[in-house]
Amino acid sequence: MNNPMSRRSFLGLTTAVAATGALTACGGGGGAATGAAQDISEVDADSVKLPLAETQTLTGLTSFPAGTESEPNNRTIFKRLEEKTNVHIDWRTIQSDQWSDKIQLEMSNIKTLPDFIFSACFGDTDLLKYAGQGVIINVEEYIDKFMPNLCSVFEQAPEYRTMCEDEDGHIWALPWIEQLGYEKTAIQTIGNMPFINKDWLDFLKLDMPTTTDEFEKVLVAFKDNAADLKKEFSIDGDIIPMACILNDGDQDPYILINGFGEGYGDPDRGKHIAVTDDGKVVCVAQSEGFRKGTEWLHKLYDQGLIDQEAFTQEWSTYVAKGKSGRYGVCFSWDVANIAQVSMDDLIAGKGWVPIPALKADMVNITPQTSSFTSGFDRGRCVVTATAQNPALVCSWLDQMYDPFQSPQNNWGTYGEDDDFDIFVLGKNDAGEDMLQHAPLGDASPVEVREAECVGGPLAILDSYYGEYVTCPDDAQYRLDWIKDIYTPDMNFKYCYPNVFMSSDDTKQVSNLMADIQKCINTFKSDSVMNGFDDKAWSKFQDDLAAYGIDEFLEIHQRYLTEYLDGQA
Amino acid sequence: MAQAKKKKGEFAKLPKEDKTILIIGYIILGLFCIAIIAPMIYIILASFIDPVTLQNQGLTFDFSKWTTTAYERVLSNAQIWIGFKNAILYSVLFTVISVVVTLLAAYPMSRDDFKGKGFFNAIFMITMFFGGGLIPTYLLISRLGMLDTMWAVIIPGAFGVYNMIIVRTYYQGIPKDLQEAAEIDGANEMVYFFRVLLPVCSPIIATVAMWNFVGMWNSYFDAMIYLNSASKQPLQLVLRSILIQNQPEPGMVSDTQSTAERAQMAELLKYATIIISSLPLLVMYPFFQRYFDSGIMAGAVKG
Repeated sequence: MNNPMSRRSFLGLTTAVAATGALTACGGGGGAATGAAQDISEVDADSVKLPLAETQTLTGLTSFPAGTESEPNNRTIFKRLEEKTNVHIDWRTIQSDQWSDKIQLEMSNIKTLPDFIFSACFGDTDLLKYAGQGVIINVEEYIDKFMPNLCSVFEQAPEYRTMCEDEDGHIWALPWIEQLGYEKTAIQTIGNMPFINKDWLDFLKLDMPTTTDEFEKVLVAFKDNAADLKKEFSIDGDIIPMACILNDGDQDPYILINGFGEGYGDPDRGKHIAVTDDGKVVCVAQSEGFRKGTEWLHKLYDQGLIDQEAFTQEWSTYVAKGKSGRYGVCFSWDVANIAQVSMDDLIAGKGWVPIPALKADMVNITPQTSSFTSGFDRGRCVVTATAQNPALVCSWLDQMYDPFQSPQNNWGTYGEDDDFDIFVLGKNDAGEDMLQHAPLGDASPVEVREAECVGGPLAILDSYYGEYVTCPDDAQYRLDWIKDIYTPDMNFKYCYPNVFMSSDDTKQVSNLMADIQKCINTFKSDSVMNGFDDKAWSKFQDDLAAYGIDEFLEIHQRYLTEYLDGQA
Repeated sequence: MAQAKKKKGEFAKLPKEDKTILIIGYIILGLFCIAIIAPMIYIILASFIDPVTLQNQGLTFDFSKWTTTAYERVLSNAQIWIGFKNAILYSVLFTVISVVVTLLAAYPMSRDDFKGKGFFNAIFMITMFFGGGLIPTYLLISRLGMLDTMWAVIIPGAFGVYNMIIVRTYYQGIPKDLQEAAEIDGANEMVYFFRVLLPVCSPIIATVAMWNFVGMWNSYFDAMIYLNSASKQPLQLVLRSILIQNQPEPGMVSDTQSTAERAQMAELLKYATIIISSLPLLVMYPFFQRYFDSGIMAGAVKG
């Protein structure tokens, strides 16, 4: 044969090409940090004082919500900052819905990391992991030297500095602090707020329940008068006296049992812990109140007062049923999400109202874990080991902690050319500039916020409201509810703080929690639905012990004791 | 009509047992069809119905409860059209590259006289069972300079061992006589492969092409990992964003009214996005269908 290409070489070539395509080589990992950052002691604070005399460029990575401006430099806030500081930022961005999938990949690719990650939002485990790998640098010295605004925040509220520090006193990330209320008035003290349909109460001429027995009678009345209610309020579908989603964070009904026994309730749907007045960490599922409360909820379920789907439904089903007006009682962060009621009605106390603490053996509300310090994100922003000039990076990031800047980064800004702004520039009592929330109008505030705000590290303290900024309306009425209705009944001194555990403890806690949480949540669902006897209860207690509840509590106790000692 | 009558006549002529089996067969096939069609019809109808009504009452033919909001909302999104364009581009390119590579690789692997077959086979097999893992693969793609380019989505997955095996088996099923006849007529290896072998393989080519096209059309993960620019995202990724963006974040301190509205919107959009993303594929299937017809081998070799 007279082949230009021999048979064998043709066969070999084609296979080799394919084999190359199929093999995926395994590139080596990042290893130790690159970049020879300058020594902090050699940097003069004046040399990075803003505005700079000559423009310098830094690189940053941040996220943006889908459908909004993807180039941060086109956002008014960053435009103004560049003018003000003479620092230009080259941004890389990740769409926020893809952030969690992609940030880990970015962090593994150390050679291409930018100087800082603006909206990292790392959990404790990640933070300690990247710190251990040397991918991010500790910034406590930079804070003291180059970050006067953040220092001033830490001076006003020193507990936040403690919360940022790991056990060796290092700070690995710049925090996000959003105080809406503080300690017992914080907006986070109650997540699963119980609401009742006031129109139904009025129609049936019933009073707001104040004890668990009265509450039960109200639910029974809702059920017995279902036909009348349906007719009066022209409701499609059956009446559901009480709706909830068991074990689903803010939709969980266990706040109702807060008055039983010792009065712990179940303020922490993840860890199921509470703190006694003598500073002892307890597991609520081991308490008498939990047992009696669960029995009571089973009694309600047995009478058909609780939604049959309370154990299985998803958020969207829960909302759809609520929006068609079928609920008498429901649980949520804000009832406007669930029921047919407008914000104006809620502010006026019409339509739906929060149910105050119900008396059983006592009257009490236990605030949620780590709610006393309000909104706090320890791992919001990190400076990477590739940053050549960390002092300048920190100096620029410190601008975000300016009391006039932080509210803008968090919510949005003023004076844009487009239709709608979050703020108008006004004056406070002292005649200084102040950001005042503009009337919400027809525009959807979430979308306007997303279009204008930039997130990232910032601090808004309670003392800022009225001086630098006004409190957002949608937070204000919830704050009022908590302050007026619930704070007076918060009888316990402590709530478990937001502590920064060591890497080993974080791991151990999450290992133990996997079993413990499942065990408690299963017991809750099963017992509310089917009831339980002494045998089931003691088996449940044995299971908890077997899953290491003692060690779990011991670890938490150690950090709590340390925290309380630090405060004393 | 006449044909139908003729068929009916044929059916009547069949023996009783055959009739029973045929009827049972059709019943099973019919049930199977219903199992596939019913959810599709449900989704089509659901995409037009107000989500609150849908959750409370199920499907309704009370047309006052019907709405086209979902489609208006989805189609008015400029990203959708960019996504469509990218999805078509990636799927076509991927299909072409992938089919070419697969066909070429499968050929030598189908030949017993190819030395080193065992070695290459082992290498291919390894990739079926072991992967580099997400992060190493990401680093590789990054160092190859393919991050945020469409090649990151197209090249790494272009060669599929599974498809190669299917094609190889198909090649092996083709009578050796065909090759001998070609060689006698003076065809070299190249001529035989391209002008004799490939034309009789059109059913398998169509099958592999369709798998690849559908696979790429429906995939979003690689695109999500490797592509950053909004202008490069394929349709599935855009739809995913629309859905996730409209998911409420319960507990978020933010405007409550529009959070709730968004929750409703996400429900409504769910069905509309399914329809929009699968429409092109539904249109495409019949087009590929005609390549699956048998009889292409008939007459290629005289018996």
